[in-house]
Amino acid sequence: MLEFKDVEVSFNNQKLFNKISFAMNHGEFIFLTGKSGCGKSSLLQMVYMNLIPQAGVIRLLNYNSGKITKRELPLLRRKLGIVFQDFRLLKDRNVYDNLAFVLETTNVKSREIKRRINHVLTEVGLTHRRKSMPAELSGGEQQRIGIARAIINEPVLVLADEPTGNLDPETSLEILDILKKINQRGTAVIFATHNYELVKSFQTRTLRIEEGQIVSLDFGGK
Amino acid sequence: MLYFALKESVRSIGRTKLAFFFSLFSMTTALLLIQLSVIAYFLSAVLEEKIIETFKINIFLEENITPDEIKSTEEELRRKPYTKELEYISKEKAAADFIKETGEDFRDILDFNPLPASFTLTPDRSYMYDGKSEEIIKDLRKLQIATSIEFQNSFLNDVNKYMRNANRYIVGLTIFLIILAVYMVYSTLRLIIQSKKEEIETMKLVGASTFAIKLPIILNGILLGLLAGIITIGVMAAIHLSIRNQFDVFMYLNQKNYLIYIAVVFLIGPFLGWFISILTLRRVSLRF
Repeated sequence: MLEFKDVEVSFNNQKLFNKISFAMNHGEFIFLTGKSGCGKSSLLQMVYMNLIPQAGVIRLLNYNSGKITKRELPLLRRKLGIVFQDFRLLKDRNVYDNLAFVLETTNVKSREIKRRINHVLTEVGLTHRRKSMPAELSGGEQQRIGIARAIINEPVLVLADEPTGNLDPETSLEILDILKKINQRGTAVIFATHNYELVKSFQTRTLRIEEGQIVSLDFGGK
Repeated sequence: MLYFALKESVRSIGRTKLAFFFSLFSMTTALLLIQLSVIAYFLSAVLEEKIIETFKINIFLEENITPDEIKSTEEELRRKPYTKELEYISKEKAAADFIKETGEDFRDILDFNPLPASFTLTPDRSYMYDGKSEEIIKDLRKLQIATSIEFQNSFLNDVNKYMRNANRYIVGLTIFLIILAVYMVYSTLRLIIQSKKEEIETMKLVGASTFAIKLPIILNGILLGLLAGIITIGVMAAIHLSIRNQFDVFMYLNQKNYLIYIAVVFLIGPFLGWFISILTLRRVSLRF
């Protein structure tokens, strides 16, 4: 489903990634770890093709980083869900409108919008918070809404960029549980984090970015 | 998509109250000034027409000409392509007009009528530009029974020159005002786009196309122009009603020009709003 092949990225003449290669299958869960600033977010940006490598190629489903057109880019992103550390909810609208915004933007019919919002809110256990404004929610709740927003388009891959970075350990485990549940239903997940306790708690395939290279850590996996 | 874009553009008015107000103020001011320029342009054209219509050529005739000569000359003059109106003034009518105008009867002193018979020719407007009036004078001098031709040719040329210069200044001023309006609204629309940054980024992430991202902002610009147009028309109507008794601005506009005026007022606002939002959005792409 996802393949990085000999990918090279440099910023200001400094190599961030030096010929990295790895592949990911449908329905897989991968932890992506490494120190702050090692390039975890940049790697995720390459997956949603916001960042195009200077050398090498990224293949995601039928899309290729070297050949993707402006017209194809939105289509690719509709197959992905992205979760951020800082939640990035629209502060001026309630939970329901935040979720509806995603679907209205991509031209989904209103009846389908209602159905999908009910579904994802049930998934993250926040049906009762549909009318709440983001400021009225706790950090954990906001991140659950962030996850609901990421899965509302029924993506094949969820990219979670430090989703527990602003949360306490207990809430972090809850977020991880939600993402595990989503993964068990067949959606692939890349979970970027520098929290090794979290990584160790869920024995799965783990990739570590180290000096511009990808190293596989032995935590098990599929 | 259109419903969503419309909903978002109306919603953003509420969210960006101050920036929207400044944009609306800039656009309304610019539209008012543009309207005044348009009216001034039309009025200068009307004024030019009115002045030119007052120009007449007097063809003074020899003494002792026969009625047959007068008739044939009149027919000849009427056939000229530049003749719009022609009037024969006999010696008797000239004397009567003189007495009426001055209140003095020269017959008390003179035992003859010194005023010559004449033709008064009103030329067609199309012959009043580009030195064509000189050609008319040249042609009229060929008339055998004419002793002299009287026409304020240099004054006509001055009028033409001043009117053309005035029109040039008005067009220049209008273009300057349009550029100023574009700049003012461009600056404030950038503020609106800045305030929508989060939404735009979310839209990019969830797979909205560039068109879908830009459409609400473009509609916002068109809406801004439309509102500014309506306010401008309201302001102009208020000004018109308050000064109508002293000076009716629209009195001299013919139907065609009035329709152009209305169309300009109604369309220029939304057009400017659309154009400026396109200009402001040119750097928005699907990358972050």
